[in-house]
Amino acid sequence: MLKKVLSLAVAAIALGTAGCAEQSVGESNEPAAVTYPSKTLQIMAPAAAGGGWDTTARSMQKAFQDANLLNGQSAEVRNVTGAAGTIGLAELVSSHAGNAHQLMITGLVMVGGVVTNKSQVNLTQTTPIATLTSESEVVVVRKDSPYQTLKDLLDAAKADPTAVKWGGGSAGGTDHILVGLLAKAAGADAKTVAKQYVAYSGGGEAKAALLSGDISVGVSGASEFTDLVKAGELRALAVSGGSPEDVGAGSPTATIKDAGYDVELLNWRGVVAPPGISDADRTAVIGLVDKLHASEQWKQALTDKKWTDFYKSGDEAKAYFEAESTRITSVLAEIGLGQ
Amino acid sequence: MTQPAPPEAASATPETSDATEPSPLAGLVAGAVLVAAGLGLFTRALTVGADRGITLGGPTFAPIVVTGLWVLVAIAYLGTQAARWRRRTTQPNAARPTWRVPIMLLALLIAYAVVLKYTTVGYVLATVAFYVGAAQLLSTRPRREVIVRDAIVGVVLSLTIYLSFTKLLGIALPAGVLPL
Amino acid sequence: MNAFGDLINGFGTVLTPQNLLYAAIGVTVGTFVGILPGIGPALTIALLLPVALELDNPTGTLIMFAGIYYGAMYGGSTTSILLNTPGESASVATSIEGYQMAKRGRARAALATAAIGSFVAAIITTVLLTFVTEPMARLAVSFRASDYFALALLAMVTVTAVVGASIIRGLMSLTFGLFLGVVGIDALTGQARFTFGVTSMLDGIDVVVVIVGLFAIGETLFIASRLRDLPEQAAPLEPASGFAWLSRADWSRSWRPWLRGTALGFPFGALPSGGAELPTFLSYMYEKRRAKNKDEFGRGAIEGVAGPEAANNASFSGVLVPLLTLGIPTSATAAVMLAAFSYFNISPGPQLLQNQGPLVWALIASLFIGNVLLLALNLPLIRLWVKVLQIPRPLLYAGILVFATLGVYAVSGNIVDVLLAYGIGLIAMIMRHLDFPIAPAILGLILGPLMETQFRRALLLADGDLSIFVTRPLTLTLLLLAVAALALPHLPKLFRGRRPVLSGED
Repeated sequence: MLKKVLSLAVAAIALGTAGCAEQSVGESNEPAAVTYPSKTLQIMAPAAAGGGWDTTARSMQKAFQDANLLNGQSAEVRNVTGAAGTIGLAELVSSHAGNAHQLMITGLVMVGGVVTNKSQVNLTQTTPIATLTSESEVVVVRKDSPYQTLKDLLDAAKADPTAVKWGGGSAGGTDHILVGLLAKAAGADAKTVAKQYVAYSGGGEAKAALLSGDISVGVSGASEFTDLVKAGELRALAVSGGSPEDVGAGSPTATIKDAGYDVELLNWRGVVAPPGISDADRTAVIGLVDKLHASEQWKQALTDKKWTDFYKSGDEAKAYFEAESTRITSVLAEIGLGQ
Repeated sequence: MTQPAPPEAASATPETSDATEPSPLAGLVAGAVLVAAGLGLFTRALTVGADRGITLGGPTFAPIVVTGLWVLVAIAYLGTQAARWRRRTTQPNAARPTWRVPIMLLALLIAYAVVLKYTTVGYVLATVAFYVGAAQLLSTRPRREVIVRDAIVGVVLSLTIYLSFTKLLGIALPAGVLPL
Repeated sequence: MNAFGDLINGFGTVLTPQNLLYAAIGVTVGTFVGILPGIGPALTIALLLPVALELDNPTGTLIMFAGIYYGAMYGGSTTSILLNTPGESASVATSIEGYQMAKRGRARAALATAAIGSFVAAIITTVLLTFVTEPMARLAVSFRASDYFALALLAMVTVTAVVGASIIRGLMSLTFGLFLGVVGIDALTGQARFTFGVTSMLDGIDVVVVIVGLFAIGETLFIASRLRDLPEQAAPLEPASGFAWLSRADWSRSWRPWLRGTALGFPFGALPSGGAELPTFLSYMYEKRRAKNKDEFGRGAIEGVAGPEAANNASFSGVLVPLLTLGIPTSATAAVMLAAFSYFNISPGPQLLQNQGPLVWALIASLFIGNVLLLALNLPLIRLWVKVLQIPRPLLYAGILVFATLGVYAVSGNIVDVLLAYGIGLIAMIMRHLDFPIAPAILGLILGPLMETQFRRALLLADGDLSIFVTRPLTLTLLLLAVAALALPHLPKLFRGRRPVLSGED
């Protein structure tokens, strides 16, 4: 209540001094074409509270407010759950068109979800703003596994596509996509290999299945298996990002590219605006997110949450979204989850 | 003082369970509806199965088993209800449920959800209106006697919920037209 | 001995005024959160996490979170017992007998046996947690998909006792639950099933939606349809007697179920796909089967409250076993706590006790203290809770509808979920009128997907070879037990004459 009163007061002052303050808001060099935001900024997390998208949305909200980027306005997070974010996506496109004060968190998972759920709307119908963070994937095996390297593993899968049992998150999700990409790069029968993938709900189940011997290979976000790799229970074979990364082994684990396969996959998250917003609005939103990215508060959030900075904004983000859509759609079709 | 509870518990209330014996006709109708619904779902499961192939480890197997079980159990239920129908006596309709109140409550609930989602009335106003309406429907006393009490409770309740959710938990509820 | 010394140190850490304050805040918040439908401990902890991060006090934060978790379980039983509106699936078994007790004026005894049973279970299992964590976790992760399938089948077969007076009506309710369980995207292949083209249904029907529909909404609509026949006031409270509202007979009927519930809850909690619902239903079934006076079940048997509540709380300590030793979260709340650990740079896992020993012992000590606080909070609160029954019916049930809608809408923001909950509520009202038991539907919803998923996983991992179910000793044993459980109820008929002697030891 108090917070609200305060922010209203601040807004009133900001309005009163708008005449002279217009140019200096945010102390940026470029002249602000529109005053943005001019009311409460809505950030939609298209997933349940507590998940990755929700945490991103709430971190953004906090950084926006703590860094005073909102002209005294506040930001509000709303959850719309369901179907890999495509419910939220549909709502953004159908009910919020033209509203520059409504943002939505998105990510690679939504790109896949659009395909596997046969969603009527897709990400290219939104106004791309920026990508924010990314996480590599990691491929792990049990400590007593015969596969010492990624090559051992993929050779085995190539020789007999049903020999290797993979496990990770939901069917058609990032982990499953990586399995398809790996099989393809190794020249194995991608469709059959992808059928050997067992979907688990959440990291806990997949870890338990690795330890019990149900599955021989685990694929998940890089941080998921850190403890067990550190403890020597699991061995990390490769990470899917652009550069080697320490995932618990004490030394950096090589990338898939290092092992000689042309695969790079990042589980990225970003932010989009509804379709149909004016160019001026688009510039203003991008400017705001640029300022967010430059702020100390956002850098702190990245450190706290152990997120990797992965920033592309404006046209660069638009191009990236489109490239990812094309790539993911074709992989999913090849492993039999698309069409 | 330390008597075992069963005798008291047994004698404290009349021996029927929650529901008074449902009328034989209601049972018969429910049985028929269940069988029909079961058959519909089972057919659908079979069609989908025929399209995509049915294997023990595939996604079409469980729906067929479950809907098949549904049909079997529903037929058995219909059978017991048919037997009851044949044995029915012209019992006086002791406690007939009234359907008007639950149906109006449902309509009110749906209106409440739609207002929350698609209008800008906001959580607090919508909730107060809904609360007063629902309390009226559930009340057996004359309206005028209780409406002020209901409204006061409704306002306190919805404000408490709104403030504790938006301010403490960080779950946004639609603010609507009120300057909260 | 060593562990004991560490634990004493842990108490030393926790027993500061500041940490006690965190514990107190945690249990209070948890109790209220537990009462609200839909807003579970996982969500609360997730939302409070950012606030907690700013406190920059790992010990205090973990203590508070443990308090929230336990508090939510204590609170969850309250509405189940008083209003027949459990807010989460683990409280459904409690509501079966608990609500009947409340209707007969024994609300205080039911709440008391639930609170004390929860306390007993938590204390015993926390002691177990101190000493058997490592071997227990190893055992838990040796369960394979085929074992889980066999376990789920065993549970399904044994809990048919919950099915109630009429086998056919019980089975129909179970089938309804099983059906709700297959709706949505198939977890293994991503194919949509019974979604009827509604995108929102791709994720399946959330358990919260079903619980809110079947209980909170269904019960209110049922009450609404019988307004004329219902007495104006709730049943008068039976005069309080004995210690903590439990008569000597209540105490003597409660303590064995507490212990048996604890014994069921702890291992199930530790299993990566175990959960808290199964042990509560198994405990209910077990108490019902061995009760001398079976007729009393369904009319407010205190054993049916004592056992499931103990099982529910015991399962939480079980959940901590794989979480602390292997970093494996086995419930939504555990997953959120794991995230909290990672913010504080604590990595759970085999080395947690070596690297973060003092913190872990402080956490375990805080579990003891949290439960003492909860008992101290909840026993006096009983006096307040039973007042809920005196709230005029229109105000009370209109409020239940508000909270039910809030629980579904605020969390999902998805109107289809809300409408589904209403629809299920309508079905539940009709089920009540036709005397269909409600609890089996929840069982079907939980057990069905577990059985299907694990069965298909096992089959996939064995390249479609069905022999996987008979070649693994653990799987085979569980399957044989399931067969025995099917046959056993019919055996007593052969020995009917001797039966009173057999059960006389109780």
